[in-house]
Amino acid sequence: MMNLSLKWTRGAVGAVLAVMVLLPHTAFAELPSGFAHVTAEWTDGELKGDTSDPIWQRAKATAIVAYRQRTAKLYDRNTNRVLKTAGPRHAWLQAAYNTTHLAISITWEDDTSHAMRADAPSAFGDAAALELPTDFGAGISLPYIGMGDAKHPVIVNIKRAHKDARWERQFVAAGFGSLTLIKLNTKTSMAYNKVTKRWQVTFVRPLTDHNVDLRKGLIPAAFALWDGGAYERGGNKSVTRWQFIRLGKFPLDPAYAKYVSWGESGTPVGDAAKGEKLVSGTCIGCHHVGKHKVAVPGMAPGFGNIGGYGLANYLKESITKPSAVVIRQPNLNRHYNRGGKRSAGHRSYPSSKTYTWYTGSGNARKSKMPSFAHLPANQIADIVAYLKTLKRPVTTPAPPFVVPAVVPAAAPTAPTAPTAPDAAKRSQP
Amino acid sequence: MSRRQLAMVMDLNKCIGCQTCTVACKTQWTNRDGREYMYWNNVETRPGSGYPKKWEDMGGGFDAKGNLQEGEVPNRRTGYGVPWDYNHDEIMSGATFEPSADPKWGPNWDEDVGGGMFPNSHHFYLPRICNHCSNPACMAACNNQAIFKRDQDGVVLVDMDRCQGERQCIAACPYKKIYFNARLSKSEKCIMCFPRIEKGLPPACAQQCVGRIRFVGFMDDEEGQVHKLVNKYKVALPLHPEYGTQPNVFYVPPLPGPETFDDEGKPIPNSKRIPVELLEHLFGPEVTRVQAVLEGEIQKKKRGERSDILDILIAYKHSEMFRIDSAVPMGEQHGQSTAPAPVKAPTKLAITRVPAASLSLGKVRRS
Repeated sequence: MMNLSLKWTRGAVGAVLAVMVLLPHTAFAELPSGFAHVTAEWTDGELKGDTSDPIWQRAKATAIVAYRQRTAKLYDRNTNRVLKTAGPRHAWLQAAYNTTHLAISITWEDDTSHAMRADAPSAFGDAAALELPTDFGAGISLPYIGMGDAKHPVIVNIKRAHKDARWERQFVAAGFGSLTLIKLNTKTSMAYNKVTKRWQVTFVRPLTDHNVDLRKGLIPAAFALWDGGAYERGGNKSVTRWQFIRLGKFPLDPAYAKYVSWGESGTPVGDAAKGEKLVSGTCIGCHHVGKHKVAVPGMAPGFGNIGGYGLANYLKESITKPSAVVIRQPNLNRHYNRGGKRSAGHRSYPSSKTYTWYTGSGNARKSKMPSFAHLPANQIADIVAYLKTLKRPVTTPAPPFVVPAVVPAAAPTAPTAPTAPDAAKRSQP
Repeated sequence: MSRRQLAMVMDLNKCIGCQTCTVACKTQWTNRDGREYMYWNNVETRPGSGYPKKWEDMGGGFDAKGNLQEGEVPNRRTGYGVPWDYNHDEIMSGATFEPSADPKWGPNWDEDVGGGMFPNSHHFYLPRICNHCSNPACMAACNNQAIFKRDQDGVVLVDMDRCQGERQCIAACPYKKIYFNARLSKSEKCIMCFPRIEKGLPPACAQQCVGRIRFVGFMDDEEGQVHKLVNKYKVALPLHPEYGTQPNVFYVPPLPGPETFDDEGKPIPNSKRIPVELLEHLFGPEVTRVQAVLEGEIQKKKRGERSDILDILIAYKHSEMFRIDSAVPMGEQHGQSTAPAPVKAPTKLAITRVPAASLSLGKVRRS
C-alpha cells in the first residue's frame, strides 16, 4: 500500500497560486503552436460537469486517438478470438473548470452500447477511465501510461456501463497489477447517444485534494476505453498518450511546457528512416521493434503501439534514463509458485527471473537496459521519430465532433453534483 | 505454495447423490447477493454433462509444459442454468403449474440419466467443490494478484478489494469452480468454509454429508485419514490431474459396479458395469490400480482380516474424518511425533457410533 498522505507544503503553495488566479494577470508563457492539447472552459458559476451539463456545448473539443493495448496475456478464448480486429479509436476530450472543480468529458465512437448486467456473468460493459499522476511538473518524469510505476503513482477513475448497478471505481496504482481501491472525491456520469452512436463519460473532481494538486497551467491526464462488445476489460483496452489540459487561469510553467511538448508539435522530431537504422543495429537485440523481431520473446518490453500512446519525451527519456520509469511486470503469478511441487511430467513455466526487465524492487527498481544518453541529440531524435511511427494506422479520419445537446441523449445517467469539498475551503484566501 | 495444505477426500462409492452438501453450501453462502446462480458445491451425475454444462470442454488449466491455457467464461443461461421457481401459490387458485423462467440447463439437469441401456445402465455421482489447487490456474491468470493461497491452510481465496472483475480466473480455471458475481462485479468461489475451519469445524458440505463420504484434514498430518488415503494407501486420486493445477480434493474412484447381463439375462463374469475409460478420463490411469486395491481390501474384510483402508472408508467417527487441528501451533507440524495430540472437533460433532462389525473385531484404530 503506498502512502499518499497529505502534501501540506505543496498544498500551501497551491493556495498561494489560487490567490494569484483572482488577481488580474496578463501574459504567461504559451504552448508551442501545433502541440495538441485541451483548452479547458472557464466558468464563474457552479460546475455540474455531468453529461447533462450545457457547458459541454461550448467547451472546445479536441480530437484524440486511443490505441489498443494488451498488457498481459489473456486467457479468455472469446477475447483472444476478436483481439486482432481491434484498431485505434477516435475520441474527443473536453474540459471545464471553476474556482474549485475540474470537469473532464471524454466522448468516443462505439456502434453498440454494452453494459454489464446483474444476471449475466459473461457480459462485459463499455467503460472509460481517467488517469492522473499524483505529482507532475518540470523535473518530474511522467508516469508510465499504464497504471504508473513505483516512483510515479497514479490515481485512476473508472466508469463502466452496468444496467443494474452504479459501477464506478477509484484506485491508486503504481504499476501493473497494483490497482488498489481508494476513496476519491470524483463524481462520474455516463451516457450513450443512440443517434450519434457515441458514449460520453464525465469526471468531476476538486482542483486540489490530498492526492493531487491540479491548480496548474497544464495538467497531464491519460484515458482508457473499453469495448464490452469485444470482451475488453482490465489490461485489454485502448489507451491514449498523456493528454494535456490547459487551465488558462493558472500560470503555465515554461519549463514544463517545453518538457512535455518536445517532439509533439505536429512535425516529426527527427528522421524516422535514420532512426530505424539505429534501432535495428542495437535495440532489436532485446526488444521487438516494428518488423524487427529477432530478440527472445519477452526479453524486454515490446513496442506494439508505442508510437500511439508514448509521448515523444517519454520515449526520449526511456532511451537516455531507462531507470527513470521502470514498469513492474504483469502477471506475477503466471509461473509456478516458488517451491511448489510439480506434477510428474510437468515442467515449470520459464522462470519469471529469466524475463525480469529490472533489478531491485519498489522505488529501487533499476532497468536492465543500459542508458544511451551518450548518443548525440540528433540520433536520439531520429530514434524517437521512428518509434513514434510504431502504431496501428488510423484508417478513418476523425469524424466531426457533435455538440452533445444537438441530438437528444438516449439515457443520461442520474446527474450528481459535486459535493462541497474540503479542497474548496483550503483554496480560499 | 502454502506452508500447510488442507485437503478433502470424497469416497465416490458412498455418494448417494442426495445433494445435501449442495444445499448446505447454498444456504450457507450462495443464496443471496448475486450468488443465486452459483453452486460452489454441486453433485453431477456421470456419465453426464456436468455443471456448468460441458465444463471439461471449456479449456483452462496448464499444458504439459506448464503453460496456462485459455478457456471460456460460461454463459449463465446455457452453461450454469438460470435459477427458477414455480408458482406454487397461484396453482391453488386454478393457475397451471409454470416455471418462473424458461430453463435450458441447471446444476442437476441430467441427474441420474447416466449411460448404458437397461439392464446394463450405469451412473455414479461426482460431487465437486473448488480443488484449492497447489498450482491454481485462477491465481495464475489474475492480472491483479487478487487471488491468493492462505499460508496456514492453502485455501484459495479472492481478495475482494483487489478483484477488478476481469474474469480471467473464470476462463482459466479448468474445473469452472470460480464464479462471477455480476451484481458486485467480483469473482467468488468456494472458500472451504474457512470461518468454520478457523474454529476447528469441517466445511458445511462435509459436516452435513449423509453418506459420510468426505474426509477433511491436513496433507502433512500423517495420522490423519486424508493423508492416509492419499499418500499412504494411495487410494484417492485427483480429478483430471492432467490439467496441471495439482488439486487438493481427492476422490476414491467408484468400483466397476455389479456385473452386466448378457442378452439372456445371465451375469457376465468379471464384466465392468462402469466403463474403465470413463473413470480414467476423470481420474487418470491410476484408477484400475486403486480399484484392485479396494477389491483386495474388501476380500480381506470378507475373510475376517483387518483392513485399515476399509476401516477409514467406513467413516466411523466424524472426529477422525475431520482433523482440522487449528489449535496446533503453526510451523510445528511435520514429523513431530512428540507434539501434543491435535485438538479434535468438538464432541458434539462427533456422532460416535461403534458398529457391530468393529466391535467384533475389537480393533478400531484410533489415531
